[in-house]
Amino acid sequence: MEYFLQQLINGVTLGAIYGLIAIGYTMVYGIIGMINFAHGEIFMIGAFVSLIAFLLMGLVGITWIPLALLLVLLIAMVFTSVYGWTVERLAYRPLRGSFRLAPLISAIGMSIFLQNYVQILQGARVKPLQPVVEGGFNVMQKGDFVVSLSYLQIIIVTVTVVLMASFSLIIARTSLGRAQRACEQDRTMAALLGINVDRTISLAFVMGAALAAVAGLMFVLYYGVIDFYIGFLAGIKAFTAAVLGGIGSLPGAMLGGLLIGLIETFWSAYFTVEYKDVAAFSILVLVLIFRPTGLLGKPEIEKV
Amino acid sequence: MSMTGSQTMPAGAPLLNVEHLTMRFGGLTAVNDVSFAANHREITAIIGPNGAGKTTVFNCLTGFYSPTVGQLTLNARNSTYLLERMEGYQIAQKAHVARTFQNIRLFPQMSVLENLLVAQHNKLMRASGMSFLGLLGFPGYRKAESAAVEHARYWLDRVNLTHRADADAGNLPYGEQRKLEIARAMCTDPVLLCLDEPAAGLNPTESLELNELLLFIRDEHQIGVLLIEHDMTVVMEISDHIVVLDYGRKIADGSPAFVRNDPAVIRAYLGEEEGDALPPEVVADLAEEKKSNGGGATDPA
Repeated sequence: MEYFLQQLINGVTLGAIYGLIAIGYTMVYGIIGMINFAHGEIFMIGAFVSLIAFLLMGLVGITWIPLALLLVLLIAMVFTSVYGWTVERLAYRPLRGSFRLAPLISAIGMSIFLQNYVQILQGARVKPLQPVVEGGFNVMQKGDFVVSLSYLQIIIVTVTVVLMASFSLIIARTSLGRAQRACEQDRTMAALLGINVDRTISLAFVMGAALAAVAGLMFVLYYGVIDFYIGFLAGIKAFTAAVLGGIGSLPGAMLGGLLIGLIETFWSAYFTVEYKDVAAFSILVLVLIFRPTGLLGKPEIEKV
Repeated sequence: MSMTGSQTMPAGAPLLNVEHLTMRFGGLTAVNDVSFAANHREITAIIGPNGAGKTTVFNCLTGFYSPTVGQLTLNARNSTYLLERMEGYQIAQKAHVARTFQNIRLFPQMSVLENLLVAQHNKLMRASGMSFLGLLGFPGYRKAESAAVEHARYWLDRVNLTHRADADAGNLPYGEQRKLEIARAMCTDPVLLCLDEPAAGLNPTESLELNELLLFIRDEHQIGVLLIEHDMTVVMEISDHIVVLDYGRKIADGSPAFVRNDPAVIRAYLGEEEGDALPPEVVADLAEEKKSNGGGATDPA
């Protein structure tokens, strides 16, 4: 029981990070029907920007942790959004209207490019960050086993819930969100109503990148080490989460992220750590075979 | 005005001036040297047999195609826009040309009200400073949003859809979807409304309601309507001016009375020999009209 509770806490934390990345996949897929394989690298860049921003905070002497965290969060979101916007502008927009595979290939190219770019600029070695947020609660104790909930885990889950809620509100209630949904359903018609479709698509990339930046920040805080290669695995897992939840569906991405985080954690806890990625990707295969629309996805209706 | 193709509007210019419009697709000339004008506060119908190039004219006007030759000038609200030089969304955003399609293109998974709010996107974005401020409930945005809802309600009322405001647009019956499409186009605050076969698939009652709606739009909102329509009862009833196309060329241009008696039009519709190109009731209607008018009227316009 105690062991289970501890794994649940860990799984939800990991799931929050996957969920934030998965939203970027699902939004871009919803609006232009492509899988942005460079999104994992955007997450990785978010982690690097966060790390650099933390070092800068130390340099300028901002040591009050809440303020430092908030500033790092903002800096990471802004810089990573610029990356997201640029990738779309340079690698995908010129290919719009080209054959369906073209942006996909371009995305894979972009992914390799960004990995190498960070590897060359930052070096290939693992970059550590000393723990920023320490401490936590002991939820319960039985014998030697202590179930702990760290402040960092609370921060991660709270920030994720707040961001996801406000993001859902933006999509559901604001004019910006309505334009996003309109472009998802019929881009041509949206343009005829005066909506700048290119800008709306750019914005989907910007919002996805901003959320991935938050995930990157959490990753660097939670694990304390990053390298140029973290985007690959995290990106593919978040993509699995988006597919599991139903690609194109926002609540689906959030739910899928949570489930993948839990599956991975419980598999590691009760079976073998070595096979945790196999477990996660088996889910991808099973979903694609038995429920291609995902848990919350809508079946694609052919227009007659 | 610094935007693409915009300058001060000359006095007394027609709302839309189409000059020497030609559209070629490879070897096929879909529209061949067509010129016509559509006036402010008038309903201008474009008619012609299937494949005459009517929809191609619309596609050139709304930025779908970039014309091979020709100039499309829109004069409204004290500025002039050259539509052929503008990008698709700017034609709606800056020049305020709205359009509907032959096959209905609502946003099926959005509510009826949301469909009308999407059409007011630009207004709302300006109010929210082009950002997320809307979410924070800034008073300027709140006010703009409730004004937009008010505007949408006005049009819902006009097309009798107020009771369906929260239904998914995709779940409305066909006739109501047609009306919603027109309401949505009107929510963009257009100066020129282009309707591609709005009466297609409507029953006679709905068709009559459509006539009333279009006349209301012309008279109360003082905008120009450009109409592609096969239903001759609609066309003859409400048009102020008719342009007839056949094989991509303009064959007649004038008042309904003039056009329905024009030999070239009758030939285009009835064919030289075979008389089955047009639904029988329209053939009868045309023949009757011709008889009652003595067959030889000249266009007073």
